[in-house]
Amino acid sequence: MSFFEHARRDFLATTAGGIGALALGSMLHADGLLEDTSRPLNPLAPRQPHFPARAKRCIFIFLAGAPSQIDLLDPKPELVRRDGQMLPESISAGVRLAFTNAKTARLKGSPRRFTRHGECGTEFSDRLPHIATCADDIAVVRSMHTDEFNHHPAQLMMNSGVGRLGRPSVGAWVTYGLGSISQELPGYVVLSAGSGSSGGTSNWTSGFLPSTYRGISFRNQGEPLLNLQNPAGVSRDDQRDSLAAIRELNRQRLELTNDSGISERIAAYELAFRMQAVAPELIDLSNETQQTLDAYGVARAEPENQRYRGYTGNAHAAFGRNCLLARRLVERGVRFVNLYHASWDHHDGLDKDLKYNSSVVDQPVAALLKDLKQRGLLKDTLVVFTGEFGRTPLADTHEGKGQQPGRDHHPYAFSLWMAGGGVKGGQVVGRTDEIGWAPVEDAVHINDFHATLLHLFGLDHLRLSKRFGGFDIRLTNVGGSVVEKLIA
Amino acid sequence: MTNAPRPVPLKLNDADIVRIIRKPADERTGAEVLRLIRFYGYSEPGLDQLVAAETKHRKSAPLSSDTTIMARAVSEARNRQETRVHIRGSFLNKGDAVEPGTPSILPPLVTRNAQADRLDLAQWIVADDNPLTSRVIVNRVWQQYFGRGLVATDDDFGTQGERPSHPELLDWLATRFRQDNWSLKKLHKLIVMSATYRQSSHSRPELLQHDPYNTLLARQNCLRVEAEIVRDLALSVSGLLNPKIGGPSVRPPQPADFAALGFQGNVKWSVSEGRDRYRRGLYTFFQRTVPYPMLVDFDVADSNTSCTKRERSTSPLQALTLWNDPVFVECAQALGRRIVTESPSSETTDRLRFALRLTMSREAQPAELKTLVEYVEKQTNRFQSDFVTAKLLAGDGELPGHTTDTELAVWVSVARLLINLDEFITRE
Repeated sequence: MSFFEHARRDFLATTAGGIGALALGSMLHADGLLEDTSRPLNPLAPRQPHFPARAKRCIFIFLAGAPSQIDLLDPKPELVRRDGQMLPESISAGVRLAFTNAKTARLKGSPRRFTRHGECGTEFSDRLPHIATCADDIAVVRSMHTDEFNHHPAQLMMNSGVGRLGRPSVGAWVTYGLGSISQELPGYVVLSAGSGSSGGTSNWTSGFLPSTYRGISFRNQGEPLLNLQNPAGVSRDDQRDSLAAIRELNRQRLELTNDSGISERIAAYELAFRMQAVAPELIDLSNETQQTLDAYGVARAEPENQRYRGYTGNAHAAFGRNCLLARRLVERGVRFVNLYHASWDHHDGLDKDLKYNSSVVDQPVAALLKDLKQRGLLKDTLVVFTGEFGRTPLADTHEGKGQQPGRDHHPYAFSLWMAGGGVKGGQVVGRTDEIGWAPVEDAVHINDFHATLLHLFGLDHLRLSKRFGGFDIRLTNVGGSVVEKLIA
Repeated sequence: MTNAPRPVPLKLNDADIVRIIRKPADERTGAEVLRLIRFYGYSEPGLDQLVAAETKHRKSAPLSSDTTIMARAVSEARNRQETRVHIRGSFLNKGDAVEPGTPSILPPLVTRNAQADRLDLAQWIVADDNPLTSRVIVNRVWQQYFGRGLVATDDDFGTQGERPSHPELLDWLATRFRQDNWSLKKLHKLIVMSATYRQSSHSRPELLQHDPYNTLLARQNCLRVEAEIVRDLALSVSGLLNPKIGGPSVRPPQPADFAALGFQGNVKWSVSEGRDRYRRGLYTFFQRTVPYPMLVDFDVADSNTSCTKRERSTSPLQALTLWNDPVFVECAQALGRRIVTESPSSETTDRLRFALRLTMSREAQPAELKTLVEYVEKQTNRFQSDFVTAKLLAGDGELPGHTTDTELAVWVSVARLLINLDEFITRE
């Protein structure tokens, strides 16, 4: 909370009816945000968007390490035909890749089989058979591009709009702009499966925004939230007594000092107490039907061969469980959910590792889409499926190491998909050239993607800003334009 | 030369001394005289111990900062690169070429050579006729004490910033600061000794009417203390605090799976041992990809960007931290013991008065005593009928003399309650 926000609430909480609320707006230093003068004590209370929203919630699935679009979402028959050839000099001149020499590497066609799905006929590779059945709800963007080609900066770029540390993440911006519908759970929740991402918590930080808006890591078993359990020897009843006494003593202090910070503190303790009851219930799946549990694959076993990149021994079950929890979270009004899975950094052994990773995510993500749709939640829940960049049409051979080829980092073109939340499904937006090197039609920069995402939430990316270090900083940095084609 | 009762015996290897003694006194060089003094000095019974103590003491003296601090220095490049404006911040999109210069509304930059360099800029920053630097500094210090600067936009004194609420005061402080040879210590002292700083922060309805933001400072402001200090307070009232200054950062306990969320699951958070567990919050290691969660909960600044003003949020997660974080539970257990052992009497109200003085630095109010006495009674009833639970909350430490687990558990509950009050983490 900036001092102004604090002071405003000070004023409103301690005067009847918010006297002078109108004059107040002009007195306040505009921080660019929908200054709702009736903002209650909880900073996560829901707030009005700039214009009517299509999306109310978001489930943002992040495949850290960057999946190969060429083997999943962007079929390139011409690349298959030119398999083993060199990159045309017109492209390779001046190109620097992370590990591969663009002048000596060979083009690598995808061995995957792409087929058309749904009424729309969007092509998906045989690694995504379940997601493909949702084709008519999905908008694939094949013309994404980013500025960063190393993991951590690129993950920050995808999550916060610039490839540097310190900026708020998408989820933080959205909860800052709109608050949370749930008052008993954090507004922005993160669930991880597989190995950790390069960015760690910097991928879901609130940056310079108050820490209230940062993503809160949930565990999918045991104690879901840090410090949720009372210490040994303190029962729920004890905690209730403690809460009552804290409330009473804080109230006495409020009477004496008139400091509304105390009202906020009282409210925060009530919320914390409720959270202690609600959060464990959230991860208790006993009232889900067996059919649902099976659809999400929450008990799926790992394959016998365990030599996969980022293998942790439980990714299938954990990611399935996380997808189901994501539905339960948005159902309970959580604004923004991040689902992380790592690692997709397939420099080598692409065929084997992509098969494993796809098998982790494909079934539960499809189950999630269908479940949301069946419950009437998909229409205002945005689902995003993306990595931080793409992978090269060139083979990353790691010559001499006796490894199977993979693909290198590719910032110039990659694919993601979006569904629900006002997105026009059943379409492909953008096109890359015949070998998939760069977009040739409807190029979408990450800033454009973010502008579109905010737009779906009824937020104007130029107006959702926060003054920091003398600048009005926004998620879309100095760029961004809404991709109209994506909006239903 | 010596007070020794007998002549000091010479050893075989003292030939040098013999030679100096044989020399006429007025022919001895300074070095030789010193040698003699040393020789007899060391021969004095007991003096060797003193000399050893002196030598040891000298070795423990802090090294001069000239020899211990390494700073990166810059020098001007022989061939200067052309500098261009980056349009919209992109280095690929170059605009007009520019020369070094300063904003025209401020005093002109005096250059020693044809073109301005870094030293010129450094001298300009602290030049007598440049008012900006000292104003910005005193404003930040003021902001620390009042929650808001005399210029509210502490990082923007330009046209987009706010005008100062008290321009003369700002100017006076800035001028005085410079006259005091830029002494921050004097500036802090000046502010905290002022009548304005020492006012009560309690508000009255009519003040809220006239000046809702307290811009005119008719009272002090209540400020929740910074993240690190929240930790320091709990450690300090419980007596656990290790006040050691300096040294490498430490790693207080946190759940292992939480730390593992860092870079590719590779972050190993090895908890500091012994008294290092209880160091002040500011010594907590800042793991860039997984900062210490308790500090983040209370709006610690992101160490990756420069920050001139902390956010102050209030959240349920802060409540959960103070209630249930093992560090704070340990503090409550230690504070509970402290109340039981250090209170001047074992009467409930005396212990409560003692606990409130310890945690809030003030005398107890009748109303809060009533609330707390009721709480103590309730807790006593509960723990009297449940020894197992009492033992759990009282913790593993030794029971102070004449105390039962039940009694201790009650006071640990009270301690936990006090640590969770708004006032405990608020500077009034």
